[in-house]
Amino acid sequence: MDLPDPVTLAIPAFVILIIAEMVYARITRKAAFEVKDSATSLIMGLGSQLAGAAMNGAVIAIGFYLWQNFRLFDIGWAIWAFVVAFLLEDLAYYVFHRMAHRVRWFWASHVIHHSSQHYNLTTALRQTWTGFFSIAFAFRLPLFVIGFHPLMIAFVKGLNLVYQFWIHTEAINKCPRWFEAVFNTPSHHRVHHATNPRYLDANYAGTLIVWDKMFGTFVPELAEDPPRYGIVKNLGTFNPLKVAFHEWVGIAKDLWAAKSWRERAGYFLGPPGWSPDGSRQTSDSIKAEWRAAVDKVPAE
Amino acid sequence: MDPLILVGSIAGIALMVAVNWALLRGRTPARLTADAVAERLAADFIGYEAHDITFANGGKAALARSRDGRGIALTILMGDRMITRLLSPGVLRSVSAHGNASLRIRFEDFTLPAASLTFDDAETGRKWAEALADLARD
Repeated sequence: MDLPDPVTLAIPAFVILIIAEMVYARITRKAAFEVKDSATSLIMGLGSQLAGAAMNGAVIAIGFYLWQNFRLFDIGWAIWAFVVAFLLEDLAYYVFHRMAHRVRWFWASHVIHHSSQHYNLTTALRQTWTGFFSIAFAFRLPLFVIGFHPLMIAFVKGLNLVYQFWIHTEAINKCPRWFEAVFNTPSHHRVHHATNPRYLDANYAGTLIVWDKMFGTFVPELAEDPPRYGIVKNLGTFNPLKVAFHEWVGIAKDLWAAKSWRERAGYFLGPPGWSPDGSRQTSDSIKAEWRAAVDKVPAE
Repeated sequence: MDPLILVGSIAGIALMVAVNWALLRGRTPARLTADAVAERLAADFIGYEAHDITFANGGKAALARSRDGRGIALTILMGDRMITRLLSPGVLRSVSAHGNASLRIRFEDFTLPAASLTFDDAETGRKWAEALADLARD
């Protein structure tokens, strides 16, 4: 079956919507842009497409190998199969995304997407160049073994990515309640991009927020705690090469300085911010420090 | 990647950046305020109570001390957003005086370019140079 690439088809819409959001921001001040930040995000997006084009063949080949040799069912191309594939791919994305925030090896590639202190539609395109090396695709491999055709999975993955574009905006406050209950929305995803301690490591959903509600990682956006976007230690550069590789460089430096295999494993597979002596901050330690500070404040 | 899509993407990026630049042209450049610096430092370093906030570079950078002895914090404007660092040992590579009222700070963090801080007067520059000197590696 010949399926289109949803991301390629959506590129003109991306351009139109980004320009529309820029104009909206200029008129209403309800969204914010910065020229260098936006340019960096867009260049990261182009680089991600180029890196993806170079590596997608290998991923599809692995998918075909598993599907041809190990598939459990002949699922075929029925409409229901697309729906189930979309749901399972969205679940696989949730698992990958959660790991991407909890394991530094995966974070080294995913951090790029969080490295802007702005939250607008260009941020959606600020994507990794090194996803292949963090084997993000491994989380989708079980879908090929179940029996979903690799091209079907590539198609629904594209749909999922296109869905995630529009939620990167401050221009939309809340969607209708029923929609907020089921789907990932700008409000839910603002929480995900925030560095406020209460919002760290939350709302990993791609399309369906129900995964976060099922697995206990859902946190609602609160009007009294507006999101501050970026990463815990924000980058002081717009240089795309530094943005793309800074965490990998950090890992390499830490591995070089490590004194034991336990330390090497911790630096590589521990949570972002892990250090042998606990002198650096992880999201867990930040949240604990914040809770302690909140508890210390006497109630009025 | 289809060369047509590549060329189209580059043209699209150029268009978006040009529109963004045109829309933001003439905007008043951001400047730090004492309240904004204190609020941001308290958020980035939980409980940091900033005092002795000193601005440099016409309000585009600031140094501050904490009331509870947590050290000196640097705030730099990058576009319209703030970058903060707690200047503990291991963060600074070198601090050198440049002229009477200027400091040049180099960091161990390669994502943070060297910063030149120019204060309003030589005395202020000297005070901060002395305070930071002990924290630098070189």
